[in-house]
Amino acid sequence: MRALITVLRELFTFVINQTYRTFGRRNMKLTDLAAVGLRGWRKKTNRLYSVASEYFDAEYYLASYPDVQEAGIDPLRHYIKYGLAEGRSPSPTFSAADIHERLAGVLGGHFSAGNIQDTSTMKEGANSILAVFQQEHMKSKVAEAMQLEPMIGQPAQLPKTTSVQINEQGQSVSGKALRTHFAGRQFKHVILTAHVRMSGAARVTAAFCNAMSQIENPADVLLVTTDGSDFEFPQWFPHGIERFDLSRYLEGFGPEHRMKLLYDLLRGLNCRHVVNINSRLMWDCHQAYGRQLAQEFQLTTYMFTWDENPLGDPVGYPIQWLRHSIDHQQLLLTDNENLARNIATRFNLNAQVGETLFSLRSPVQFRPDLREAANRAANKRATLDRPRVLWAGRFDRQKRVDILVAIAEAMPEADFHVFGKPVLDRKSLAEYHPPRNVFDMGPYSDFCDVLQNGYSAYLYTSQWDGIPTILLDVASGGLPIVASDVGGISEVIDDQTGWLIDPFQDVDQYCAALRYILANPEEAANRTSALTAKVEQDFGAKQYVTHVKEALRCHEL
Amino acid sequence: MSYDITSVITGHGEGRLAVASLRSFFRAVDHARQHGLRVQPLLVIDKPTKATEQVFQEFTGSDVTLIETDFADQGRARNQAIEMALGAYTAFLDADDIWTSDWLSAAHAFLKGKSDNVIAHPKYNYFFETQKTIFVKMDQEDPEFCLDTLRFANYWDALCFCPTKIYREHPFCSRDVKQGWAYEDWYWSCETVASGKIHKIVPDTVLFKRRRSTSQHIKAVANKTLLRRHPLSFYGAAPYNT
Repeated sequence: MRALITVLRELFTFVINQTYRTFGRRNMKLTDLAAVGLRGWRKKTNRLYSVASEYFDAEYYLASYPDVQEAGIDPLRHYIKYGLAEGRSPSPTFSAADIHERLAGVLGGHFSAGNIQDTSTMKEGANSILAVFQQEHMKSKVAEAMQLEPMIGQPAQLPKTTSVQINEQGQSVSGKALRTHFAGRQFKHVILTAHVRMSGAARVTAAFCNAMSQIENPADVLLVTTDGSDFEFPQWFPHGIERFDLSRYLEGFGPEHRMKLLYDLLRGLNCRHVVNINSRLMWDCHQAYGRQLAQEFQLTTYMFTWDENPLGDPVGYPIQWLRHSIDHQQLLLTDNENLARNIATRFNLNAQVGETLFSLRSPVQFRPDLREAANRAANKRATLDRPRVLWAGRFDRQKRVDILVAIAEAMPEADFHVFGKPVLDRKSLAEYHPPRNVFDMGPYSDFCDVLQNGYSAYLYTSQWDGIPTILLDVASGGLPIVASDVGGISEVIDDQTGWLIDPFQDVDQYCAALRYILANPEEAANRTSALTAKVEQDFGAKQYVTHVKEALRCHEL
Repeated sequence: MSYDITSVITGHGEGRLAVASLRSFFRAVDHARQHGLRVQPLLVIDKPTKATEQVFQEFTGSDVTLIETDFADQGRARNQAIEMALGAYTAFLDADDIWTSDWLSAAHAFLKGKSDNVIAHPKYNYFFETQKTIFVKMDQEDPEFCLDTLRFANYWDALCFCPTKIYREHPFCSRDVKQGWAYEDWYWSCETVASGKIHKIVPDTVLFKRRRSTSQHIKAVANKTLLRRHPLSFYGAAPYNT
């Protein structure tokens, strides 16, 4: 029963987080939600009243809805309590839909005061228009028309007033800013990504940009971040490709307006080819406007892996999202064959493998300083009293920090250095209550620095994955790898190149593999050499560029 | 025979709702004639329902031309009317909307002496039936007019009055809801502005527009249709630099 409750709680939290993620909010755990509960609601209610009062015209409301006057209730209170839900109009200037969208921000977290028009001017304008219709010459026009069509008097309320300026709700301000920013420049290829944080997707985005800068004139390629302004690793990206943070122009807008602004940008840049690498906004756009996008642009989507929900069921872009948009795509790219096979099977695309569907092996940077660092690390390792095991990655549910902790508990003879931070989730390493032989080393910026600590092995405990780029880094740094056999990991690690653990949660198997490495350094070195050779052969930057070029050429992109 | 104005009303499935619209149409025609204008009334029914066809038949007369088309496309029906138009100017009305009696005379007087690239609109659209909203239109020469806004919303609609040659130069595009494209009025606004036409507002004029729960506008929004790529879509389009 307790296990069931745990699963349900995780599932609920997962759904909440997915929902909030849509609107770019930080993730919240169930406990967080409970904590903010009433306190947050009271704050929100006060804010709701404060914001609603800006748009609310009590005189208009009472005149339009005689039942409110009869009830003797404060009109604003009535509106908040009942009128809002009933779709009643709060003023002659704003429709029920307008106010709904604005107040949804207060309730849902994407409210932006910057998006609100000057209400005093608009109220004045609305009153003056209503005054025009009280003048004899306009009154007579209405009366004349009503003789022919008495429905002109319906619905029985005072008219609202509106205009394009009110209806478009500030989109044109952002639209104008976008247009003036680009000043008529055109880009042949636009690459859309969510943001650049510590993630494999960001690494692949950088690799793809680097490849494009070699295949095309870099001035023809634009990189656009759509879901957030984070750009943590500019050094990964080529200098020649311009980057642009669209997310700043979308703040305060609801999903529909955000999609329309993205669509406006793509048309405005006169681009031909749009590449989506984990941009949630572009996936949304595919869902809503995929048939139109496909008529105007050549569409490429890059995918990495599906996610798993707390029940262990597959979810995410390749599952729920791809099915709606697959027929609109010219080119589907994956970073591992496992996912490509999965997509080909599910959508009966086997004939299209190599035409529509490509698996591209993400490139590894073979840095001379990494080799030197690996050599120094070997020397350091020899001087250590206790062996050290490296774990590096996001502290997110997918990466299964809890398995790492269980392994560390079962192996008190070794120290475990843990690099990383939570990215999608919020749980810190300390919250997993690790034993004393686990050390929180924080995030790293250069893998060379990490290697110098003299590790004996790298431990990878992910529950699901594509081909994680960290494994390729570790391989080129000459460390033996013990990794879970999930997703595309077996495309890099096998019995010749490392230690694969199946099932992924088998702590004893991980411990046995690590102990074997510590007891048999020669065998570990042999497998590591084989791994390095394999990665050099299959995951080189040149091969990647060639494969991207081939994929694009297939579609004359 | 030449005319000052070709006055067009287009019907599809309005049935008896068209009676009030047709009456307002002929009242405006009479008003214009009383002011010395020669008016060519054209009634267009496009793939009409039986009831709509019958109502339109009831309003035909010796000087009234009834055209029947089979497009099921309002834009193409209007284009067909333009092929038959003999007036220097043309005005359109939909068969569920209502003109005021002075609209044709007022718009004609407004455009008289102006350049032939000016398109005249009523100042207000007065929506009725499922909503009561007064939509205020903007003059293109108003300092608050913003060209970028046209990419996100339509300042005007096609129920306007302008030299017939503008409609010939810029026929309405087809609606293709299945492929995701609608809003031919909006496209026409963008195209005409991009080609240098000027949309002006006739002071103190109003068009009564029926907003039904099944209106094409509401269907277009629900079907996730979009405005086609138009001459103002590209950020480097020439009108932005003028």
